[in-house]
Amino acid sequence: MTTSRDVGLGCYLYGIVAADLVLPPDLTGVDDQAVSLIPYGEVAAVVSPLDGDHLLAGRADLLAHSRVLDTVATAGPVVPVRFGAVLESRDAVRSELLEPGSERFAVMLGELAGHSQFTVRARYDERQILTEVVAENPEIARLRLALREQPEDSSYGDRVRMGELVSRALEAKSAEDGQLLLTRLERYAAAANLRASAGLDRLLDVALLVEDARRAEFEEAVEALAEDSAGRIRLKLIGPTAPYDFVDAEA
Amino acid sequence: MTIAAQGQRRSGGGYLERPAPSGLADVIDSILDKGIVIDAYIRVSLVGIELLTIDARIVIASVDTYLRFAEATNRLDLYEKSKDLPEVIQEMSEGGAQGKSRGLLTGAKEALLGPSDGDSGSSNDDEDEEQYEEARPRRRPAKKAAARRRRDEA
Repeated sequence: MTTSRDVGLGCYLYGIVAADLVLPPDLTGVDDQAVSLIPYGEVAAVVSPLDGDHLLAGRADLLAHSRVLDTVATAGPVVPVRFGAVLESRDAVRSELLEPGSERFAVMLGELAGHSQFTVRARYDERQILTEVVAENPEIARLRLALREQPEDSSYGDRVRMGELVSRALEAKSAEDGQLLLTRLERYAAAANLRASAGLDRLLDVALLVEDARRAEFEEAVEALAEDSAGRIRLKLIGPTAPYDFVDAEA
Repeated sequence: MTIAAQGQRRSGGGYLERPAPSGLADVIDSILDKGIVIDAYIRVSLVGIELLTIDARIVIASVDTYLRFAEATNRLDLYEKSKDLPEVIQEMSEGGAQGKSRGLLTGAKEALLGPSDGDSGSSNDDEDEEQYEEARPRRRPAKKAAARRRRDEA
């Protein structure tokens, strides 16, 4: 049944914060709408109006969602809500979300307070790592030389075979190097969430929840790690961001 | 806003890359399947092939992957700088999503990968198909729309 709730203004939901959080001024979100708070007890929902005809579609919406959450996170702890949550109205946010959930949200916010998420992404230098793989694996080196002599259409089997060996060698390398990196990062973090990563040069993707008091120490450690690994491994540090990886999925 | 305004910066020794978390690849990876799930959506609309226009290099454990690895190894000398965007795509999983948000995520993935390109790493069973349909923009509740569609197809 099509009802009036299908048209008009909805309420786009970004996350939950403490009721006393002061929003950064002039913060806009999805569709350039002004972001505001809906308080209930100790907690508040971070929302912006959403036109009923607006499709949550493009990169702009996704980027707006994360921009709002990351900006809010600089002002205080935030429980991120998954991209795409739209409620009927501000009243619905209060009655359907905050009223039943406020106590649990307050606990989650208490646990996240004083922490930020950082994401470390490590990638091999592709040329360097493949050079190592060839040097360390006689069978791969042999196949590589053999393939140079063969026309492409008669070398299919050898190419698959070599690719499989390279794939296995890279897996072993990234497991070992990834663990070394992780060991050096984890000691600064209150929690860590390993993410799967893919690609020939993949090494490590990890989200770390870092206490504010240890942030400088952590950032220095990542820099030192990047310097130590330079030429072989590229490190990227993203953050501080909202703690996307450190909230339970179910609300 | 303040975060985005910091822009790209390199720290101290210049070895560590510290992008502002505003790049699409970083954002997709970080948020698309993350955060608490609110199952009280009155309306979730997601469409949009325009999310990304990428040459999705979906890496799956297959002969194709091996051939690519072999090719890269053979062309060590002609090394071409790799890109990190497509790696992100493969990782997107539905995680603990439930209810309508599940459809949303599947829809997003389909939007990223292209709904008709069934071999690009996304499973193609009936359930996924239906979730994708549910994630499409609509003006009527999903179940009704789905039921209507089935009637139309019958």
